Amino acid sequence: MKRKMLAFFASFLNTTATFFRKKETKDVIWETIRTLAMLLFSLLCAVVVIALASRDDPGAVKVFLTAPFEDGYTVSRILTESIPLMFTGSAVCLMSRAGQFNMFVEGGFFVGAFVSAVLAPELCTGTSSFLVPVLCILAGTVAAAALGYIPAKLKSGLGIDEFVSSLMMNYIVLWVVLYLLNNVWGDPEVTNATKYLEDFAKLPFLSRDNELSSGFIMAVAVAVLCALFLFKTKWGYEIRLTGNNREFASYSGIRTDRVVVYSQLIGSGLAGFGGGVYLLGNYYRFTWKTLPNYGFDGFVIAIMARNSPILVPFASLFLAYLRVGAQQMSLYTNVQHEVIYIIQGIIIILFGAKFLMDMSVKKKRGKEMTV
Amino acid sequence: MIGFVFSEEFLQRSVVFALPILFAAFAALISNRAGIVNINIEGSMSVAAVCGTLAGHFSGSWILGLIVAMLVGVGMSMLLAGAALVLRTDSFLSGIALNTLATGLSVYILYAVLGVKGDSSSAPTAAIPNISIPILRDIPVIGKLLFDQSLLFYVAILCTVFLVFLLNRTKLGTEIRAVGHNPAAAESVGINPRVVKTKALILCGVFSGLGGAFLSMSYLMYFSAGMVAGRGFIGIAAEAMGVGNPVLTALFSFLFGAVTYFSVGAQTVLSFPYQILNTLPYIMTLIALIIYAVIQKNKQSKK
Amino acid sequence: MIGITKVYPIGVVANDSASLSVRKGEIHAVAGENGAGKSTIMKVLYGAERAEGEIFLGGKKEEITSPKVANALGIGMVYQHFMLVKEFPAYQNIFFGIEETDRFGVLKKKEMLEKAEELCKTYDMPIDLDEPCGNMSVSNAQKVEILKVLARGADILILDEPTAVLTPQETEQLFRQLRLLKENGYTVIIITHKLKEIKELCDRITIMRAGKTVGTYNVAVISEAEISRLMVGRDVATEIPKKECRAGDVVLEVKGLSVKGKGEKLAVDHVSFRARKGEILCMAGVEGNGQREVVSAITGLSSAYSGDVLFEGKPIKKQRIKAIRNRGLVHIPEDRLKTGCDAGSSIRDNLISLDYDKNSVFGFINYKKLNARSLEQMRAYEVKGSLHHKMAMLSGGNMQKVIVARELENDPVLVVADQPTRGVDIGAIEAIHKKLVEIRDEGKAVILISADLSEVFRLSDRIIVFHEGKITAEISDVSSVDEIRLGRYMLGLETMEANDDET
Repeated sequence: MKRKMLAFFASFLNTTATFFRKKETKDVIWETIRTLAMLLFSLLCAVVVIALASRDDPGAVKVFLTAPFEDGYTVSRILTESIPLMFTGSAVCLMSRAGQFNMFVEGGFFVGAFVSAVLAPELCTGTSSFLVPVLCILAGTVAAAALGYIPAKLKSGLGIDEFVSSLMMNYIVLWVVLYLLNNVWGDPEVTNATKYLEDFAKLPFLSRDNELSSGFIMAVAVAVLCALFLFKTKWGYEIRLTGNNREFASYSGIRTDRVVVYSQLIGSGLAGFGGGVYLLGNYYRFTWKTLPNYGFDGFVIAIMARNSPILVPFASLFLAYLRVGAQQMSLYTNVQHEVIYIIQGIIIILFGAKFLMDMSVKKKRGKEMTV
Repeated sequence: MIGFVFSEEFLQRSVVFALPILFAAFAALISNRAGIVNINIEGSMSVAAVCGTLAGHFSGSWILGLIVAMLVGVGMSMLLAGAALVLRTDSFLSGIALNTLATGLSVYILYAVLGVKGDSSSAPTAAIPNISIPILRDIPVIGKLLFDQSLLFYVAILCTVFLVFLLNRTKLGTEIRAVGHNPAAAESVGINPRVVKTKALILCGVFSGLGGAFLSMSYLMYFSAGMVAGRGFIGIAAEAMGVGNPVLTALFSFLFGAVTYFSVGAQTVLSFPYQILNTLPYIMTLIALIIYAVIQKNKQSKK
Repeated sequence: MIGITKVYPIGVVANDSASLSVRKGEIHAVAGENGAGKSTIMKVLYGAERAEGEIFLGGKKEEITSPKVANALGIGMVYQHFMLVKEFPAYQNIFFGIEETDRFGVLKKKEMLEKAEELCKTYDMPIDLDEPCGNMSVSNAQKVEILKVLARGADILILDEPTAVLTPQETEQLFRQLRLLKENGYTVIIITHKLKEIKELCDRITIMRAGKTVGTYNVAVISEAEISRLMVGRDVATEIPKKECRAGDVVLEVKGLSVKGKGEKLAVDHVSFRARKGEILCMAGVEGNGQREVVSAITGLSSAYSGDVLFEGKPIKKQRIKAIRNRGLVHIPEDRLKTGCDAGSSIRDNLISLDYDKNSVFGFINYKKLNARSLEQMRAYEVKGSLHHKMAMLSGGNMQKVIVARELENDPVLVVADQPTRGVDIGAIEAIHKKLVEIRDEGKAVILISADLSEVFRLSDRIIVFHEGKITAEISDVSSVDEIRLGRYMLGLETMEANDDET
């Protein structure tokens, strides 16, 4: 018996050892360690920045770090905060895999939320079906995708840099929505708001007490579906190939101009979808006066997730944790939650740094090939 | 309406709206010529604006404020240099990162120094003076445009000349252009592209600083969060239109400035919803990009 | 120079203890196959790369840490890919990095022009100093490169494959200039693998193989055959077993094809030819004489041409690339990294790029099946590595084998192979050549585009020669011409009436 166990133990050790000796495994382990180290470092940066900002408030750091886990409600805040991040993060992943840097995720999210909020009261007259939120969100998705088509087509047809054009689109969309909100479709009683949403127009709660909407499940599902789309389907394959080497893709017969367009269409649509889900899940009416900045956040998420949608939920939860920490902190102390943007900037640079990548991967990959 | 557009004041005020775009465009120009994608100008301008206006407020000297703004602009550029050249983060990503960082940093600085949120209107700064030249300013049409402007207008004209000279007639300009066009060639003669790029980024920072200072020390006398409002990006568009040529870039910046002023000025003249007028500069940028691309495409197909 | 060893981070030892010694005032050849480490050892000497080992100059040990140091020591290098800023005029390129300026860094144009003119005169290199280098011919650009090195006061010149892009006449001219330099006391090191040139120009030769130096010899006493044996380490099989050519039906017909080039001149000028089944048709010619444009047209990558391209009787103009490829026109492109593969993707993803869509259900790719097939292909083509390895990790030869596998296993009717063996090792060359002949023996059509005469002679059944966008000769019986004759056709010195062998 003892010997049997020993033998089993030995074989177990052996398989584990070979598993760890395999190159791929080693890479994954390295990558994980490196990622964790960078997360820790960014957390450290956050602590330092906050400590500096709150010299007269010694408790701020503690509030920042622990308040998100205070009770069920704050934990649910983290989950809620992560919803828009997951949507825009997945959207950015898809587009940057195709080599497209379309900032319309920002505008798309905004439009998706607006359209859903405007449509809901209209549809509610007469029906009270569960179809109302579905249709509203669908409309938001379509509207965002349609607008996202503009920078996409400008890129594929005329070669106009999608980054600048989509930024301009964002500002245009912002002001047009504000116009519509105040002059056409808003609640005439107040400025800058739509009518209140009926209860059945809203998405069901997962936990009513903690105000956690079912949008969270959808957001996770979207990230998983994006991963499947990217790595299992032919369209995903086309996106990856086009993003990596467009010339090779078109030589292989892939119509890359189409890929450029549909990757951005899907991305913008996802952003709009996210906007709709977030609004119908977590708000009572649409009252945004500025762009919510979730588009740029999407870039932070995508970079942390290394453009892999499957990692998007994790990255989103981490960022959401920082956010909630910062919000709680600005509630209890004098430090403003905007400091979190400083941390986000640092995170992007850290995760994007090839320098650090080279350090940990060390000398595995030679930069040069002999001629 | 027509009288509004063709008034002397329109030209004069257009310049006021063009200046921040122009400085942003020059910042984009110098870094682009050195081969760095720089979308960080928006962020640099906002941090420079807040620091400049605060320095001006506390010292009471606009010169000091201007210098601080430029130094801070350079500092932000150096952050980009550190991220893109030392840590080798993709310069596009670094730009996004620094823009995000700047959003937080400008609010943070404002709060750390004044203890207020949002804007520093409670602490008006020493303004950069206007220079109004008697007699000349009374010349019809162009008088007010050319001889009754902020000091920075004249600085901008000097900058245009300086850039043309720098790029075409000096060793540094040669190096910047070479590094932008063919970094391997530059490296092969012992030029360190990183050093040249850093030098270009220093200049870029100075321009961003000037742009930021203009916003918070001349256009307004205080900083307010988000006051740059995409001007950095419009500047990038103006630079793209000017194909790296300082004079063309300046002209396009003026055009963008005129449209911006129209959208603001027309709100008092026209009974048109201001939200729609506010979209004008962005629509204009988009249309300009399209026209430019169509022209380029036709040129290519003719070849 | 003794014992330069350079260990690459990847673990490939490019210069595994190589040593080289060069005498003052000689023209020294460094010869070897592709990948033997010639370029690397020169880059080390020029300070562009670092290596272990020692370098002695005139008996003194030197640490050459950068090109700047090398320049200061009088070493200059002309790279194979010119290091010129295309937008700059010639004189500015010549003085690039060592510009004459006043105290404020303002350029002194007049002084530089005068100096450059003097250099041109001294070394008999007449060029237009105000012309931007981007507009210059290759040989003039090369002159600018040499002047650039001379302007820096170099007395040791390293030239990396200087004749690769030159016509024989231009080569002749270059050699004259190099001899002139030698007479003036300069030391010239040239990297090459062209035996004839070594014999003609050089005093001594150092032969490299697989990162090591094999030895240094007096060119006068060593024969070409000996050099080639030392370079390869075995006798090159010059013949490849081939069945007799039985040319069948016409697969591709090109009629009156013209493509616009830069300026007024046509890049391709009313070219007509046919490719038949069971035949390797070779498009020979010095690079840049219209072959690239023809390839773009016949593979459907570009529709900007006039004339007709008929593939199996049907025009391919304006057809989608996918449709053309599905009809069995496969293409091994010239630029492996840019066009031929995606270095950032896995080997598997590179192998399935032509038919991933045919192997998917409801949009989901059947990876199980394709993985198995890819593994099989990797085994058949002896590609080292695993399915999920990044393409970028492979050597040039293995990369090319992946590309060839993908293309040739995709049921070809016509194979367009554009420089299929450039920059790959001998083993891979053998494999790829055999495969092409095999395909042809199966009765498929092959069009080979090659600038390498030995490859042309080894494989082709019929040769059409391109010069300045025109076909200057069509050779149906390859054994009837030799390299010299073919060379004259390639340079347009001789043309042959196109004899349409309809029979």
